Amino acid sequence: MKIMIIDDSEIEIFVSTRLLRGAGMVSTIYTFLEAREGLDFLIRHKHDPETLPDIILLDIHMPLMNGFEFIQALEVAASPSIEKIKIYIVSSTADQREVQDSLNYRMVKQVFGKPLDVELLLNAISES
Amino acid sequence: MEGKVKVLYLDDEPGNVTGFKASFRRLFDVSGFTDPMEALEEASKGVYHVVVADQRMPGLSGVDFFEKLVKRNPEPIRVLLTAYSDNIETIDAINRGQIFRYIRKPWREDEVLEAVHNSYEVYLQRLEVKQKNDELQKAYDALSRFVYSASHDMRAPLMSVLGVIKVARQDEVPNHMFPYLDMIERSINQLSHFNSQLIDYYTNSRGDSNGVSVDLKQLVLNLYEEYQFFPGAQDIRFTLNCEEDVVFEGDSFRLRIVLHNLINNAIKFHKEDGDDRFLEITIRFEQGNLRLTVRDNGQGMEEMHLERIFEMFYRGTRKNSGSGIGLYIVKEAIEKMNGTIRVESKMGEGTCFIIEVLNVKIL
Repeated sequence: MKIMIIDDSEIEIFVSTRLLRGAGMVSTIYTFLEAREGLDFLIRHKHDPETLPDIILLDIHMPLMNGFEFIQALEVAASPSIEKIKIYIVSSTADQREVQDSLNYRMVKQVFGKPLDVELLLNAISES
Repeated sequence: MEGKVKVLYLDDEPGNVTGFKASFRRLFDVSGFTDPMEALEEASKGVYHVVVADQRMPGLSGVDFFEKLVKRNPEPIRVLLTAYSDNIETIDAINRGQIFRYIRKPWREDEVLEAVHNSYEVYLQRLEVKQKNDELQKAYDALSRFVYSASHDMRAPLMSVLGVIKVARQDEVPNHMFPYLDMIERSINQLSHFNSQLIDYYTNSRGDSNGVSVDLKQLVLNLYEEYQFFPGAQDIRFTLNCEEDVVFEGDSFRLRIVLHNLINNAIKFHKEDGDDRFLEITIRFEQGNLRLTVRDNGQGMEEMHLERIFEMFYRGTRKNSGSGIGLYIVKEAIEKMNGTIRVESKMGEGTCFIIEVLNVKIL
């Protein structure tokens, strides 16, 4: 399984990467500190399912381009391969409205709090 | 003070208007009217400090005129001219026309001068109070926005610490380090709980989310699911009494905040052992009123605490070092829903919170 992590915090990326590696099942992890760069990567490979991730773990509050803007931009640039990607929001938000807003996007499957509970994530992935 | 006091003078007799203008135009900026409707139109514009009107006019009395004016523009201070023969009901005039001063006709110049000056002073004072209130409201809004954004910004690093603790546990950490990790984690969890309460407090203080359709039964079930893994929750039997699954028009955000805090407390302050420890939530609709009770057979509270538990930062125990803000938020949230909450509790026997919201609209 290929996973992309987008989070502006290096510590969060470190934690998520280590927890995912610890759980196995993950072959490739792409990490981006800026949503824009993650987006460029996806668009560059939009017709290349071999490279595209299966899962994106996405933070909401980020400088420059936030999580919502990232999803909107990705929806505009979508290709059949991109549409297969499942997005899971991983956020420290305590704002229920934000959780609701996230779930309104078709590509978003679920919202997780931080720190990431890898077991819950893997269950969610296998169920969807 | 900039410029002259702006006075509107209304009297159906043109001679009186001319006389008033002649006497005071050097001191005040006077506009004279003989037609009440024209005067009303003009006085509603909000440029006058003081409005002086004669009581006896054909068609519309002075008091009636002021009564209409108050509704359209309450700002100018109102002075009524009355003759002895007018025989007006004073209290009625004050209440309806909200009149600040009377002047007897025929008026004396010094009397009018004093009345207009006093009126203008009151006008300025009210203006100042209004400006101060606006500033206060702005400061209050800024403060609560600050609480919100500061709490939000604090959350991310807190969660990072929890993540690092998780990773550390997976690593080959020497055994004696584990208790330290536990302690760090416990403190961070406490801080994070307090932090989400601050965010709830802000969410509650701003705006209204009333009018959303609420399925209270589902809300309770969802919340209880969230609490399944909460320390101590596994040993407590949970019951939900709800005769019918009613959906009503209400405020699901605030109800969530309320239940979240009450369930959290019930679990946190439950007994540490004992048979059949329970938490029971009952939802009842009677004649359009919602009655919600949250009852447990936990530690209970001494009577001396009961009056104070809804105060901000009040803590009745040193155990479970909370912040003392939870029940304050609960009470605030219920008040915003126009409901009431009361508590019954006996030390060692348990606690029951009873919430009532009248006239809910069932969908």
